[in-house]
Amino acid sequence: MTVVSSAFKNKRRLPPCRAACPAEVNVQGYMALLQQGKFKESVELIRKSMPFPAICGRVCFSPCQDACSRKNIDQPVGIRYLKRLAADIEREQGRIKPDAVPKTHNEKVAIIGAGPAGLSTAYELAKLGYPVTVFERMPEPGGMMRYGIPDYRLQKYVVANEIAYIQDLGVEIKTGVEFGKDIEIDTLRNEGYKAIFIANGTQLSTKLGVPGEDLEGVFPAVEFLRDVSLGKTVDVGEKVAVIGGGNSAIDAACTSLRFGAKEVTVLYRRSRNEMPALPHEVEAAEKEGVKICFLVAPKQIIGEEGRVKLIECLRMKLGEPDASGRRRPVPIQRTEHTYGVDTVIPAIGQMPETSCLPSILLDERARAISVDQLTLETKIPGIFAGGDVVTRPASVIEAVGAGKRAAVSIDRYLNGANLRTGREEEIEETTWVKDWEKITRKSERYTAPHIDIGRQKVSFEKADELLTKIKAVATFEARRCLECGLCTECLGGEELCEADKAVVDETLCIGCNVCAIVCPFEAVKKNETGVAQVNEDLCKGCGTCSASCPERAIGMQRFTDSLILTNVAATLGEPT
Amino acid sequence: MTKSEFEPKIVGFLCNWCSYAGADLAGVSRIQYPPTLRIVRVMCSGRVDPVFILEAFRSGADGVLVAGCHPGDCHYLSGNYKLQRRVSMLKKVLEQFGLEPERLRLEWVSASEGDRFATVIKDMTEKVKKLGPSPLNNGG
Ligand SMILES: Cc1cc2nc3c(=O)[nH]c(=O)nc-3n(C[C@H](O)[C@H](O)[C@H](O)COP(=O)(O)OP(=O)(O)OC[C@H]3O[C@@H](n4cnc5c(N)ncnc54)[C@H](O)[C@@H]3O)c2cc1C
Ligand code: SF4
Ligand code: FES
Repeated sequence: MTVVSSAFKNKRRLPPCRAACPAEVNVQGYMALLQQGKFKESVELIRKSMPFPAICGRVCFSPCQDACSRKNIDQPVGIRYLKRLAADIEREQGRIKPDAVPKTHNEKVAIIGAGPAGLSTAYELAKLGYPVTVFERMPEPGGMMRYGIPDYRLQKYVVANEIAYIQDLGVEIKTGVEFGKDIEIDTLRNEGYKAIFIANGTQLSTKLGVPGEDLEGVFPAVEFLRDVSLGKTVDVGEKVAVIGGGNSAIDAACTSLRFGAKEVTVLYRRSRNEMPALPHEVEAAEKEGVKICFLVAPKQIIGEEGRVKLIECLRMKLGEPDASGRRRPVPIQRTEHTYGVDTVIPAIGQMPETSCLPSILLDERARAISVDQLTLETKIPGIFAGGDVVTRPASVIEAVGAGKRAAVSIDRYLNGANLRTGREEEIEETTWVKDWEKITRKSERYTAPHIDIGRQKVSFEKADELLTKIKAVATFEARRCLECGLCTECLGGEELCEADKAVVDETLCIGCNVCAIVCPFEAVKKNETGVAQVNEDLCKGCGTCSASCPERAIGMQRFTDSLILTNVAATLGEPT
Repeated sequence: MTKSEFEPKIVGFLCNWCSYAGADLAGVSRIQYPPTLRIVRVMCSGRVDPVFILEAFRSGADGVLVAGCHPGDCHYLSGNYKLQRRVSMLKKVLEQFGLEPERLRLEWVSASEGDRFATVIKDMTEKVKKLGPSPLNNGG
């Protein structure tokens, strides 16, 4: 990064939720729409930022919600739940079917891997009018969303429905095509693809590196979950030990229970605080009966006649922090102990398949693709990469963020534009609250009433009534949003919200300064000539200045005085 | 018109963020309240200019309700406090016009207080009924 470029950093002010989201989803905006009961519109607003509202509403680790300012008062707004609800309502009432975007560009783009990273790039480029083809070797697109995360957390039809939206836009997805076997960089180039995005994820399970790993009855988590998703029946026996502490460990554990295991134990070498899995998933797993043992690591797997029988472990303690900032587990000598098991599921991480990739693309240790962090361009011009294959196993929303960035780069590359100009940004979190102590009214999070209708049939009237109730609750929850960002944040030009703006009639202003005193956001100041000036970025449109101006020199753009007065007259004119 | 069949007309300036939503909730939850209220939405109670209130009375309102967020809850921090000052000043002005100050009422109603919203309307309707039609109305 050169000095010159950093001097031109774009500075943007965003509400904390949006600033925290790798895909920069406009949370404040869809909260504003939900407040008005506009469910479909809110889903469409999310789709402006990313194509997976229902998926993220289920499995996202929701950094937005962790960042939400409302936590300073009571609890963060239930953003993930609201996203899921809005997306589910939209799907169930008939998903919006977008028209295919006309292809205004000739340059074809090839994408390797139909996981969230690849699909998001395709989505963004299709919206820009590029012909895009996604090549996927599995029978169905979706990547880990389809073949990793189990059905009880993320239903296959939900994934299929959101991918169908991307296909509606004109993206072509070719499944059953393997990169490195059926296609290569050269063949793609010969077929006229001008840019390639590689997003093949991390499909290989990391080896435990202990004796006995090749015994029958050892199923690495990724393969295990993939087999389950492919509909294969997997016999896990009665006692299962899962090694690891991430989402895939928890998913493998819960899935084993569903396959008839009686006793499932997750062995994790650090403590609960360091677990990378989503806390509510861990909690749910424990409720289902999964046992979690902390500070233990396997030393060897012992078999009998080639089949797993026992697993020998060592106790651990936490030492100094390692490169990841988490405290490194150190084995305690002579604490060997054994568990009897039928199946061992290692879930300690995943690695990219690098054999299909030219070595020039890989990092020094050949463990990931190395790219320019800002542009995601690899060492070969025109070839970009992103998602897990670059970051190592991360999350859906991070993969989406990478996909979006790659799309910007690819568009620039194909137009011969500089890939970097203006992309370095400094994001500042904003909120209008200056003093959290001042906000004294607390409100508990509104959660939908737990409705257990089981499998009984409900009448249309009853169903309608329930839906109305759920929608009302969601509307209230959305109203807990403090709208930290600038007024225009929620619209981003959507013209969906009814934000107002103050406008000064300079010929009427006498420079009394009342407006500047009453404005809660210090959005009005007098200029050199003594005339009031409204700072558009700061004005949130309350109209307090307008109501206080003795000269009636400040008007509002939307709720003008005359509109309000007309409304007054109109309501009084109505027959009782 | 006899007093017993008199149905007052009340203009309600409701803040978009709280009372307007509260009115909505009362509607959704089917809470009954008298049909005396004529709603005018504003972005914040702080937006309510004295002129709007006077104009409402001049155009035939028997009562005017201004409802905003609870103190400390205003979306714009202090719009409701500013309104409170304006309302106390206006009550004096109304008296000079020969209008009972009780015809103007300020209330804090949040988005979740549908029932409270209904209670306020019921109560205000009762009180204005007792006062009878606005003197401005009769004279007009
Ligand atoms: C069990 C499990 C649970 C998870 N739970 C969560 C969660 O709750 N929340 C969350 O945010 N994240 C979760 N994740 C992580 C998340 O799914 C991934 O980070 C994300 O899917 C990565 O996206 P990607 O597009 O980079 O790769 P992937 O999703 O892995 O997609 C890569 C695609 O490329 C295809 N491919 C690979 N090689 C080739 C080739 N040679 N030719 C053609 N196609 C190829 C693959 O088949 C795959 O479809 C979980 C992951 C797992 C495994
Ligand atoms: S409308 Fe409100 S926020 Fe905007 S300038 Fe006037 S007083 Fe300030
Ligand atoms: S926002 Fe409701 S009174 Fe100010």
